[in-house]
Amino acid sequence: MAVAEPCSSHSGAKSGLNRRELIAGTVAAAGGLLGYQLVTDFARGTSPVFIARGQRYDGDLVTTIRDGLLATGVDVAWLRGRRVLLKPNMVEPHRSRPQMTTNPAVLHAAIEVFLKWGCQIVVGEAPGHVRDTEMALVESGLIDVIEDQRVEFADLNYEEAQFLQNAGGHSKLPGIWFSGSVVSADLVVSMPKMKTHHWVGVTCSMKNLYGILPGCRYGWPKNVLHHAGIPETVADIHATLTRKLAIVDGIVCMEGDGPILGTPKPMGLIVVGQDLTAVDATCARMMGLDPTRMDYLRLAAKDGGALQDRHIEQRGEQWAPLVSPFQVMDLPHIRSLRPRGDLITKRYPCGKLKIERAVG
Amino acid sequence: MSEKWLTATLDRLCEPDHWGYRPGQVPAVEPAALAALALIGHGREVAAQLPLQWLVKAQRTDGRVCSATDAEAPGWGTAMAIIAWNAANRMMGKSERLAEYHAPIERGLAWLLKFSGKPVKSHGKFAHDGELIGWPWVGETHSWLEPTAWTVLAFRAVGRGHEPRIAVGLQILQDRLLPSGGANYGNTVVLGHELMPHVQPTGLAVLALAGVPDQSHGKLAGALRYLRESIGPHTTAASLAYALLGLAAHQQMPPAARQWLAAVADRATGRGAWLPRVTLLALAELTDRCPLLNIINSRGAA
Repeated sequence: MAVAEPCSSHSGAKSGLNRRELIAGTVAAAGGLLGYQLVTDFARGTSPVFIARGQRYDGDLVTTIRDGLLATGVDVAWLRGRRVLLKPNMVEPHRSRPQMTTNPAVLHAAIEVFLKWGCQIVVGEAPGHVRDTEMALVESGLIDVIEDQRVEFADLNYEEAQFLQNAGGHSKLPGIWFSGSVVSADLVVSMPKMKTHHWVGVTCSMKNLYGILPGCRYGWPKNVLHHAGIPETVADIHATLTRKLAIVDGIVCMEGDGPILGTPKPMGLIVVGQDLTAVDATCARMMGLDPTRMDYLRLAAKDGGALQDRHIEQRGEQWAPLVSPFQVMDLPHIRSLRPRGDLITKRYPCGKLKIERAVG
Repeated sequence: MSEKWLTATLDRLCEPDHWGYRPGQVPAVEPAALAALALIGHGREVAAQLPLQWLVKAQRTDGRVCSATDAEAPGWGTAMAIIAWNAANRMMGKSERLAEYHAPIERGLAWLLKFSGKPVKSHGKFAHDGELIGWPWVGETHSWLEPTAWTVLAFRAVGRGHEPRIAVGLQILQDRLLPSGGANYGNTVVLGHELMPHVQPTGLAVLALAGVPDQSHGKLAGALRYLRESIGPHTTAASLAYALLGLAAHQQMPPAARQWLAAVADRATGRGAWLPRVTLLALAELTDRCPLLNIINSRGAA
């Protein structure tokens, strides 16, 4: 906890306070701050995040996901009959790089869970880098799940969109266009792949929501959002989309030059939660990164998301024993996310890449 | 070989509920323009009038063509509409019953000349020349490959390929080709890593670059090689269509193209949604009769 620095008006040298009075004043101020913190924390409560470890794509992911949703307070009775949009990550799929996109097994399991709970399912995605969505479905393998499960697929890039006022207000965008299937859904489930991101550090359940916005309004890539500020627009989308939760594919993740060209990082994790800020913060911690230094998470915390560890209640596993530092790009804004500078991907002028431990 | 898919596709394109991205969805510029082109190419000029007239109604007073009605609606489909109108105009010589689209074309071209991408300095983060000004998807954003390619094609189609901005557009297309072959949405090397190519944008880029002097330092040849090596009956519909159009524009149409089109069409039709993919196959089936390929051979093309 932070102890307040004595302000200059209480400096012994300036005000003539003796040392005892100075110490007493400092302790009282710290106690006041601690009291305020306790009151604030109590009022705020905690956000549950479920972590399952030792997961495999050929394992019983249905049970894992179901248990995770129940452990984080999902109201099954409310879900019955509701329209649930599952949003996997298909940004730029390539079958030789499965670490880039949400694994079909995770989507398959999530569909089964929600179907058993009586939900209407639609799988939706607006790939940001490719316009041929059919290609994205095939390369990612998700087409097999959709056809096998006979669920509706919504190509969110090309739907009629609805303009909603920007509830976050962090960027200059007065409002955000959401694809029709997103607006009509009762619940949006962000199903990201846990990855590094060379601009914002981590891409997880919140950044994954870029893919619910239509390319026909924002372009390929969704440059409107980039120009308005990636952290700001990530936070704004998150704030504007009210009913959501996250199921993270952390089984084989991506490290290095994410979100496209990084390398596989097996972690064996499934992470679930209704507070996407808390989910992403937990994932960042397990990646060996400091979420309190990530701009979009800090902005989301201002909107009420849980960022500090003390505001997140771990269900299932604890995150600390599961930390396995991800390689990150050797860039100033990324290095700052890992103060000790472990395992960075260093690029030399000749173009060669080398993984080493950064100094400082 | 069955051509039932082609007849069925053309029949559906005569109906307004097939000018959107999904059956029953409101019409949108891209599907309507592609529908008109396919109908014109396959000799159904009268049926093509319906989507063409819809495109005229969708044009704003400033010249952009957009299906959304709000003030900020993007106009990236304007170039496609121009190409469709122009294809109809070229048919007018064959039938006087067809409407004349000179005015909407001129309005669209004027808007495109005023619409431009935002230059961005690289600062070593990416390899392409971000200060060349082409066309963006949405105003106040960077120039990207597909909107630039479509605009180049539109101006070449109407015989104004000599415009200075089109020369820069061609330069951008060549600059955005990947060193190892192919193209994507318009980035090449980012933070020292070369990105991956994708078939659809590569096909469109090589189509737009056909028939102009090759100043790509071998990258155009690499893009064509990437296409030849990447496509087959497994390729998804839209990507296959653009790849075949691009290869045909360079006289490199694969011998098995027609068989691939039929196989892919059956699969694409079964997958429903995203109507334009089957329309694109219909366009690719035209080969030399395709209005998009006629652009390459037209007067003032470059």
